[in-house]
Amino acid sequence: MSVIPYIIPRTFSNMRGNRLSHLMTALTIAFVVLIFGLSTLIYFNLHRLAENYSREIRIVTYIDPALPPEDIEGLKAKVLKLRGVANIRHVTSQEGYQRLVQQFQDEKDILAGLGEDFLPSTLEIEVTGTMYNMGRIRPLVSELTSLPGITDVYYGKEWVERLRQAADFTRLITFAIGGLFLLTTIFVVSNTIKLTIYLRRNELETMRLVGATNFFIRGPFVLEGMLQGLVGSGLAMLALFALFEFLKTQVNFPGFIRFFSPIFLPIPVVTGIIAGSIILCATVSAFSMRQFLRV
Amino acid sequence: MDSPLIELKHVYKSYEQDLTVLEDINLRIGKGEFVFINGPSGAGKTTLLKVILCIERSTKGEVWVDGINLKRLSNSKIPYLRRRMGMVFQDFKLIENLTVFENVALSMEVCGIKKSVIEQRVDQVLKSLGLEIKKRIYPRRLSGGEQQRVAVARAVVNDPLVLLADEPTGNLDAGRAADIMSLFNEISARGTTVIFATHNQELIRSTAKRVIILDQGRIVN
Ligand SMILES: Nc1ncnc2c1ncn2[C@@H]1O[C@H](COP(=O)(O)OP(=O)(O)OP(=O)(O)O)[C@@H](O)[C@H]1O
Ligand SMILES: [Mg+2]
Repeated sequence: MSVIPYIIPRTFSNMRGNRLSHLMTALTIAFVVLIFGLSTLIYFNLHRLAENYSREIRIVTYIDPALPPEDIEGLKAKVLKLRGVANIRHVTSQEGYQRLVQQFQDEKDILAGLGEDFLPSTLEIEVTGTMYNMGRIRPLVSELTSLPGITDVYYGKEWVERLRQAADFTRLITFAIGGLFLLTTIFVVSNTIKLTIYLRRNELETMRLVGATNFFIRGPFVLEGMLQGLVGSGLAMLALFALFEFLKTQVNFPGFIRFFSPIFLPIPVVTGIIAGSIILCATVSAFSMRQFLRV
Repeated sequence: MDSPLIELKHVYKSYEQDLTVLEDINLRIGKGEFVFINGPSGAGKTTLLKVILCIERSTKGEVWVDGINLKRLSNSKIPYLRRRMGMVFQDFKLIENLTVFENVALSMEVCGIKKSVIEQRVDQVLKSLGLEIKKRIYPRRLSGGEQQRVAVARAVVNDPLVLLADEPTGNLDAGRAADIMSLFNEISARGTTVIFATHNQELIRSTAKRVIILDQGRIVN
């Protein structure tokens, strides 16, 4: 027979005996998890935005007109091998000219007098679209520039850099808030445990005298920590979802991301945050028990 | 008495450096024996029982319980030793926010005994101590004597190998005290070793049992 059936009701009676302190702890945990979740949500959506945007990024390289046409295949092969290159398309002078013709249908005069081959032929390069590759763009550009046969490289530099910085910044903020979350949890959970132990010191002593093991005595406190983690982070996730739904109807996104609809944190991330909170609170409980409860 | 259940060899105990509470205690108590420990207040009776239950560790000397040298017993093994001993504490040590039933049941719960078994056994013990109608009541609403009987119930509920009773009849009238005595006699007859600490001279005078007299931490008889 095991003592577990006796540990669970004991957990609840411990918590009933110290209601206010447990409520405050759960609310504090909820508050920090909410801020952490909000920051994660912002980072997550910025990441998605950047991913969407970087799918649009094209690097255009101009091919040296002096390059013999038979060498172009070799150049394409070299470019394809570079890291971060998803796809390339060779746009010949003629194709480029046709595009212009289409673009200036009504003002054909502009093109008058220009030969079909006045444009250099180009390679249009699609990059693999993840945020983390943003940082790869610059090295990729310099590698492209150094390839023989390529004269010039163009890309949406400013935007790439800006998105990258914003994402880096929110990631940093998320980590900082994560650290704050950790410290706050350690502080409030261990304080609640300290208080419960103080309020229950006679009972804990007596349990020890009648032969209770450490497991029996500590079990309820660890369970209590897990419950606080669950309730606190669960509340936080609910509040975050409500806040998200509310903001979605309130905020007008600027034009260039008009077509971007922000989404809530995916289920695995929500589950991860809740599970992480439970594990964190249980660990803090177990450690504070060791610290405050002498055998 | 070839191998005593409890044996103390040259045991010393001091709480503070220069104050010796137990001094050179040598004692052998056999299985099923019923022993009184008598002596004036402050003689060290409670301390002696605490040393046997490993609540206090002796400062010097050896304490053996059922073949176990307590000096060698690690902290994590202590609970298992205590489960085989029941102690009636002088100050009862009842838990305020548990009912009479729950207080007594606790001794069995820590061992992980099944709920249905606990219920039956606790009811039986409470009944034998005349406490069955108080079973759902909290200790602060009991008289001193009732609290003492709850403490006795908790100590005997596990059918311990050793029963350590620290002044277990101190708050009882003659009738109740006699009930407790006959309960202890019964337990002892079933093979439990009983160590009964009291400063009550009358109780000692009327018994034919072995009496150990402590005075200022020494055995004087
Ligand atoms: N925890 C403690 N710390 C310091 N001294 C203690 C402690 N417990 C007991 N003592 C001292 O040890 C001596 C013996 O105490 P003990 O409680 O063993 O006596 P006793 O024989 O049980 O007395 P009584 O009949 O009054 O219960 C006393 O002088 C007491 O002051
Ligand atoms: Mg005493």
